[in-house]
Amino acid sequence: MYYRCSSRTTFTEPSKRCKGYVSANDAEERVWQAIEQVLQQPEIIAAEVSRQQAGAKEQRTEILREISLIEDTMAKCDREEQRWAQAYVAEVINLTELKGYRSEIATRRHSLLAQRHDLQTNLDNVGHALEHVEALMGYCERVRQQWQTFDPAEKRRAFEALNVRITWTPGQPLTIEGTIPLGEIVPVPLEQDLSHIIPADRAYVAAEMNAFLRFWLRELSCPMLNRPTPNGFAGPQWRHEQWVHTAARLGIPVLRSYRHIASTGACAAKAHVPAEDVTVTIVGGQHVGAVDEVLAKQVRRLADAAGVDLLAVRFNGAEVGSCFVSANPWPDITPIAVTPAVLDYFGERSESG
Amino acid sequence: MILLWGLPQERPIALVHEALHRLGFPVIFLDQRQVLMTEVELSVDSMIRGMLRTHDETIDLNAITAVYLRPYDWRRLPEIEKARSRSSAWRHALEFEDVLASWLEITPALVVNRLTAMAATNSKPDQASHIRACGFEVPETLITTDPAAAQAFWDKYSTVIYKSISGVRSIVSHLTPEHAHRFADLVWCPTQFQQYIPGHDYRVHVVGHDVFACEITSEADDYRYAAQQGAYVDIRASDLSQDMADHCRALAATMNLLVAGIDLRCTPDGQWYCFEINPSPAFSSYQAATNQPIDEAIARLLGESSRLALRLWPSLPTQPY
Repeated sequence: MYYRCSSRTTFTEPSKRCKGYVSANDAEERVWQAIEQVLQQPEIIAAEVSRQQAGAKEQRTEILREISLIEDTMAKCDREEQRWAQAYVAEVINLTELKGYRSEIATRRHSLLAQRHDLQTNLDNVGHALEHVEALMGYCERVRQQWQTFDPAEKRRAFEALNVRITWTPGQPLTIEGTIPLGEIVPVPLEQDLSHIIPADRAYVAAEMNAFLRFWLRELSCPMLNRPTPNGFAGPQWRHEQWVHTAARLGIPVLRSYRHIASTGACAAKAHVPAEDVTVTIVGGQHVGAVDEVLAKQVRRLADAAGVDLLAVRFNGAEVGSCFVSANPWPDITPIAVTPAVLDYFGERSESG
Repeated sequence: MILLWGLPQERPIALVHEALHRLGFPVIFLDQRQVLMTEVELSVDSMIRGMLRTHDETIDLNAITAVYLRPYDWRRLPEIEKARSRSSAWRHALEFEDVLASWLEITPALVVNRLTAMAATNSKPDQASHIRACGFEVPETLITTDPAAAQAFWDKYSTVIYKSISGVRSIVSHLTPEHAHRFADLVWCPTQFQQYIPGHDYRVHVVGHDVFACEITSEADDYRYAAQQGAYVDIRASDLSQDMADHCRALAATMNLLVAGIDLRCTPDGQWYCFEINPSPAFSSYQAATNQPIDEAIARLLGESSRLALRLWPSLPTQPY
């Protein structure tokens, strides 16, 4: 079996068609080896993440500058639209002209929103990568352990999950790229985790395990960070808007959340991004580390509203009046200040229980 | 304005749509199949603002006072199934559903039913805790991955049924000697066994304060699948005692469900068992058999939503647990 260059089917002109081919067994074996090497040495990925983090501050500043320019342009769109509306009211232009101007402004606005969404995505990636290095190491270890038992079909599915892309140019070494799905690490058994179950039954078994575990965990009387809810194993899996709305209704200053999913399928946007942020973590009513008491109190109120004992909240600054950015009821507990607080939580409750 | 979200040809939502028209309530149907031609915008701080734009309408989300939803799995929509995974169409559908789901959780409009409330029914043992707390009997149950424990349970109760633990729909079946050789497979998946309860089946639909009960007679283990099993099924309207109707209302309310389908069985000695509660009941077949006006009751509930929304949903979102 061989892989052939796609030019054979994509070019009609025979002279442009490449005649190269590569043995499928050889190519796949090299790809498996490359991925196994990375999985067996997750510190390679961690080092790469750290290296990228070194330039994170500069990247953030640049992205924020671009976002600011886009927001200025959007504000101009708003003002321009308002002026055309006034011109219509004053009978300077007719309804058809007004609609034409509005349509043109709407097109510009959609384009700006798309650009802002891309920048926001970049900014989120810059901000979150390091937080997840530990989770990343665990993920690699889990995949590595299961990798040995994968059959070719399962390995191909793993390729899809890791978004592995291989580029082959005849005469050149294979280029292998892939991404680790950091954003999808969730505290529930997923069907992808059940490689020991036949593929046709995985979704069912995962659903059954989830249903049982949720019940079992909820029934336990021991201290727990955090108790399962109907839609999450570790506290409520609220969407961002629900956190923002709840925080705002508790009187906590928030950065407005904005999403727009346009019918083109390409446009989605969030508004407002923090320049510098601080994370306040609450464990059992106590905050971790030296943070402003007002912020700590706000996080406690939010944790109470969400019914959780463990909550990490990002603010866009360390001082009073800083705005809520996001909340996470399943934060990384390995940072040096958080771990003792978690141990204290269990220690105190076990003693009192 | 009342928003319906689902597939227009799906019978329960079509019946509610017709009933809303008959009763003169303003309604808009968000056809899930049109997802690729639909836009949504959501802006949230202490206020919630947003718009839905279909090919011919723009809807201010704040003008919506009630929602009835029966969404289909978007990944199975023909337009999405034929699109490549992670394609722009696939991403659009994913993000659109996510934004709408987010709004449904926080809107002050009356939502039949909130997704979080529906999710709470995805674990049957969880449901059983609520059911027991509301005063119903619950069959003796074993959930296990241990073949020996399953065998011992079977020996103890002689007649045992098995069914899914999760919200995944399964056909309730009797355990028979042919299953014995499959007990070894239990180690791979927790499985729920229940003591068989003899008696008459009842399906109760709770709609706000209204209760519609019907009695079902069938030879099938699971009357919902009687036709496939070649068994007959007879559905007739029935009256519940005031006390039992109140139990059903209390169960639905405990689980934050404004509309629910509750499966009961009354034993020959008059004990009432409750097997499960369905947060999105397909009431149409029961309505067709009994002429109970369930669709109109749902339409009225939605129509009277302004008042109910304020009463049922306090100022802050709370966890049902």
